[in-house]
Amino acid sequence: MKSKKGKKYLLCLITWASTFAISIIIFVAPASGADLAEIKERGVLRHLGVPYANFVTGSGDGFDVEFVTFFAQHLGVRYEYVETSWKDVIGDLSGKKVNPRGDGIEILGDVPVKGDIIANGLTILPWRKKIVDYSNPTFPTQVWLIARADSPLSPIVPTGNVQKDIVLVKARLKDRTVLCKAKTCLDPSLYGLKETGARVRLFDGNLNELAPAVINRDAETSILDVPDALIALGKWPGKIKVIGPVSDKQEMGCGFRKASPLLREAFNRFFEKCKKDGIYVRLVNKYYPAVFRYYPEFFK
Amino acid sequence: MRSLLALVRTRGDVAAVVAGVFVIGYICLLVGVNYLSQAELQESALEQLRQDMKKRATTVNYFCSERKNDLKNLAESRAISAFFENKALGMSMEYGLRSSLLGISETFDRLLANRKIGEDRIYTRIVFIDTRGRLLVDSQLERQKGEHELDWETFLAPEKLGAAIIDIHDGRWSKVMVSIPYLFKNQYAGQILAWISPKTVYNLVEAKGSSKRHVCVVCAKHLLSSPADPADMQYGPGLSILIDLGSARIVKTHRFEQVKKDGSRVDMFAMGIPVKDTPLSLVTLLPVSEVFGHMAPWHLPLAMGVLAIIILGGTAVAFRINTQKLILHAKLEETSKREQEVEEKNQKLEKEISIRKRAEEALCKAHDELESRVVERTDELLRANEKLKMEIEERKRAEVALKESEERFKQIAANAEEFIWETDSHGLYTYASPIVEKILGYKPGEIVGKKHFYELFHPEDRERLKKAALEAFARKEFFREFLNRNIHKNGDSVWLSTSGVPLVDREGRLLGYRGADIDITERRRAAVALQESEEEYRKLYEESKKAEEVYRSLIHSSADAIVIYDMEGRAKYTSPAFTQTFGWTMDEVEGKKIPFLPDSEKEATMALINDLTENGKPCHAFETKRYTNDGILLDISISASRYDDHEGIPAGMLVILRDISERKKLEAQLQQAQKMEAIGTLAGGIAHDFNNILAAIIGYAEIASLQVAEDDKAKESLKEVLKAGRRARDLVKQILSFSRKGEEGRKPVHVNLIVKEALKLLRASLPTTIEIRQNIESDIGVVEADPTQIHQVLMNLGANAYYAMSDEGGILEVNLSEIHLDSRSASRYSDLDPGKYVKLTVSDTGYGMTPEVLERIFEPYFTTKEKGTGTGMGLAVVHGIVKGCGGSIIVESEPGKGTVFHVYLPRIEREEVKAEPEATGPLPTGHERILFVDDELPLVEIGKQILERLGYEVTTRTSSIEALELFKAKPDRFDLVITDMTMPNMTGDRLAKELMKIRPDIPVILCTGFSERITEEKAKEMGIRAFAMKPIVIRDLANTVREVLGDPALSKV
Repeated sequence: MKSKKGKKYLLCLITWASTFAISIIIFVAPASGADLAEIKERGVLRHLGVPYANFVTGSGDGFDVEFVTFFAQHLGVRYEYVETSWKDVIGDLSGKKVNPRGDGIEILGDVPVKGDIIANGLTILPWRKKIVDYSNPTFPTQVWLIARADSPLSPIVPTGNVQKDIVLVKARLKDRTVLCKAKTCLDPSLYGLKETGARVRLFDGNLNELAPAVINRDAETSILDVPDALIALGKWPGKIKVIGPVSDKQEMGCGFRKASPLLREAFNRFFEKCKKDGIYVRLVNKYYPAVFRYYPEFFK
Repeated sequence: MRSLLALVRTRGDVAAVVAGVFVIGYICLLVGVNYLSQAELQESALEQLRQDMKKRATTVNYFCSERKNDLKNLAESRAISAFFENKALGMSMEYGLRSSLLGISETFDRLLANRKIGEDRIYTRIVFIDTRGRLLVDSQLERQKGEHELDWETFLAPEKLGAAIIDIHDGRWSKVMVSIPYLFKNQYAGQILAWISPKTVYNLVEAKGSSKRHVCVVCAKHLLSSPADPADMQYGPGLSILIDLGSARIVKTHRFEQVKKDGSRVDMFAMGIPVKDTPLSLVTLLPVSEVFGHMAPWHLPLAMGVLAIIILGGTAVAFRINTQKLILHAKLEETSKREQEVEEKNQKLEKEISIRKRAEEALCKAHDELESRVVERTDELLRANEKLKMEIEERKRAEVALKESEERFKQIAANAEEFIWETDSHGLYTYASPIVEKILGYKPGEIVGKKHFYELFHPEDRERLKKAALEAFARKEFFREFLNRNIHKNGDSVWLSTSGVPLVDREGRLLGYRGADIDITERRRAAVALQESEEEYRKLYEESKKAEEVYRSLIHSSADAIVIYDMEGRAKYTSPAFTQTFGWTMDEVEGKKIPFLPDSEKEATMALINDLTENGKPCHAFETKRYTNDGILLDISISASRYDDHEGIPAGMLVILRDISERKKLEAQLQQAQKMEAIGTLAGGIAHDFNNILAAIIGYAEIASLQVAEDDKAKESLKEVLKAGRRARDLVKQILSFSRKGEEGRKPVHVNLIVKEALKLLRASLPTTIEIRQNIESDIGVVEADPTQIHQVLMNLGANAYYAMSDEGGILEVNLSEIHLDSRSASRYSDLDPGKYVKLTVSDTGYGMTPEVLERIFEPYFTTKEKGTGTGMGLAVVHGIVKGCGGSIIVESEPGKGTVFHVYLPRIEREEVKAEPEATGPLPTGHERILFVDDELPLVEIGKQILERLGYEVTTRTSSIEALELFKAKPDRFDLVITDMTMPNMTGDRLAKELMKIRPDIPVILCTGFSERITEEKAKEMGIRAFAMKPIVIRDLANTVREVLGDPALSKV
């Protein structure tokens, strides 16, 4: 009898807690966030983009611009591009201004929501996952160290093991200036660069300017993610060289509000369809043709 | 022959014979020439063939040259050199080098796609082989069926310079390629190969047309390309001859008999020609008949000769026959002419006879007809008479019906609302329906037979309408709804709409008109009224449009943002100023609630809206906040009112939003400035009192210092007291400078000394949890600065460091060194030129700053401290001081890792820095009589003690009035007056003025604590001899007094 009563009580408690939690989610979630139904009703999908490499070129096209445009057409809504910055992009999606602290975040306050989807080469990082939900991975990446062509730093001889290669690269960093960008996928704390004895400099400019900064001798080296490094190697052949990796293989995805699960699911389904139709491979080939040679297994 | 001879004998035929002989001779000549020309033609045909083949060979040669150029350009392409450059840099395929291959691959693909002849690609494959014989780049994605893997190493040719055409043969296939070695920095780095499509080569040389000629391409004893099986070469010696000719590498011909598939034999001709600079040769095969024709050269001339003889003989026979025929023909013609003339005359006679016969027949016919007509006519007359009688009966019946009809018509006319009338052809009324009296006021009898219709027209229209109507009468026209104005019998105007039809007789002559008039006077009046009403309405509409335009323009031009809402709070209209201020365009917010309300303003705003919508209560200058579309929060002043529609029902709200952010900022700054001014004033006041206190401290310390022996330990302590007192005096001066913007006292200073002194003060002020480390180089140059300001810089930086480490303690490190910035180093700093600098570094191990805070730390009033614990001015002051010295300050910080400030001050050339004079050496003395005036008793006593110690006779007063009275009583009792500036009742400068009125030559020394009332220059203009700054030190006073009193009786203590 006692155990029956106890079970009943437990069930009530669980029901109450669930209802409360759902209420919190529904009523405390940002008033201006929207899921799939609201976006369809509104008639527009707002794409938060930061001009970066060939994901968002800044001149109206780019891998992510085209992809999200197709997604908007697939949903039957209008596409709208909303330019933001690396500093503001998470807040513009989630409505929360955050400060990353290791793998966690510190919420600083509320800001207006300006977009529905982040798509601009957004690397999947643990701290970002705390505040946004990612789609299935859309692009492979990794972080490489680059230097000027005439730098005394020489590229490593690959060992065939990425971890060993990373160790070899880091061993060469002592007393070298390394350009990084805080609160992005190029945050030095993600790769333990300071512990190598390197002189880490946080870059104020945008990510597209890291390679030119190295070429202009503003720093000896810089870390770049692979898509950007491939663009830089193509733009400035013979001016920069890749020393080697500082990270293991990573992946990029599109970011969604936690309160937009249906939109995320719709995107994942759409992405699978694009892979089957060949649209995805066509877009990758248009903007990053060299990436197939580095990560063929990702595109199988 | 006999007849021929007979012909010859006659004279007329001699000429013909001569001509015949001549013709025969000419024909023989022609035959001979023809034979020769046939032979030449065959020769030239052969030469032509040879030239044609040479042209084709040249074409192929040119084609191959172009292919070599393609590969030369490819070898010089940036894509390939970029790969090798990257490789030379040490890059690996796994990390970066592989992407360079993409560039080479794309370059190859472009060449493959772009090089075409028509629609056919020239190249089928392009590869790059490295020096180890490995395939680096291959444009072919998959191997072709039956194709073997090639041994790439055999293609390496480092010794050959330039591009070459080469061939390969694997037993089944022959292929032609272009090959070129690739050099990177003059070192052999690989080989580039490009396969040439055999089809495109063949297409260059293909013999087109219906000829049986074939052209084949031979490459080093192999047939490269050709039509399927030209001339059935597999049968007979053709193929081997073809290969031999192709391999000969000279121009060579051969004639042979070829056996075809069906067993027939054909005479064939072959010519081979090599293509220069290539392993290729062209061989053409064609039937001999195509070159030389089907006949031998003598065949044709022979045939021509025989033909000529036949033609001659035939011509002679024909000539004879023709002559006889001609004569016979002429005679026949004459006879037929005569016969024709006789025939014509006979025909004429026959015609005349037939005409006469016809005339007789017609005459008889007419006579018979006339007789029958008379009979008919008589019958007709009888019938007509009967008919007439019947018509008379009918007419009588018709008259009766007419009368009845007329009666009916009269009744209708009398009861109709329209005025029915009839006139004669001149317009005189012949009938008028009774209604005319109602419409026009006339009885029918007054107008019928008496008036014409136009007499009733309005006089203004009469002539015109009469003319028009009579013209219509003349034309017998129908008229319908003819509008005309008439005059009522009573003089009123009556408008009628008249319709009428003409009455005509059987001959079409006009008898008159019949018609009806409708009175449209009321209708017309209503139409005029309507038109006037429409005109008025149109004017009103125009005016309202103009007013709307004016209002629209007013709203558009308003500098304040204007929003018109509906009653549900949705935006119906936003002005351009709204877009400028908040960022949203009207399209973005029309029909929606504008999302710019912060949560903190919701309650107040909703209350205001409720008041407005329910009670219609407007609001004015309601201060609130709103977001812009990019998240910036603005201070806004709102004025709002409700408006109603034309039925008085509330329709919406008009809201005017004014951005007062700038005003708020200015207000805040003004408040802060006023606060600072108040603080300055307060500081000035406090400083004045503080100066007096300091005067006592310094004064008594000096006196005590004079009173103790040199070897007394208290002497050193007193020196420190004096030093601190002087520093406090300087600090007070600094405070007063800050509050009153006094001049800065810049001079060459040794920064190391000031830093050491400041560190002592810091050590004394900071808790022991903060360790202070210093590394101050001794041999540091000087900088042009105010020492107190430098002191201030270090104190402020130290205070910030302390605040950052206040919770857990830490290390404060101060380094001072001298550095030299070259142009490259200086370029990192936007405000530093190359040169020598004194670098002061202050670092702490506190909690550091985020990049966002770092951006703003030098802003005035910016602080991260809790309210009340900091003004936010410390680092702003530091920044201002450093910039004022021409230097720069750079800060590095990381959250959790501490902060470092680097201050760069321009070093000036070494010079003797005048140290503050120490109080050593004898003090100047005297015996003169001095009047000392100060309202502060302790200062009076100090002054008296000091001056008496110096040997002077001193009289003191603490009231300026009393001092004046004393002086007035005996003006020459005193040699000098020393007076304070700020005193009640009479200030020092006024006292001096009064004293100088009494005795103009009395020297006066004015003591002041930085009074703003009077400057030193102004005091001297008044005649005051010297200015002494409080708190006065004994040496300054002694020197000043002696200077003013002059030199005589100068004696030292």
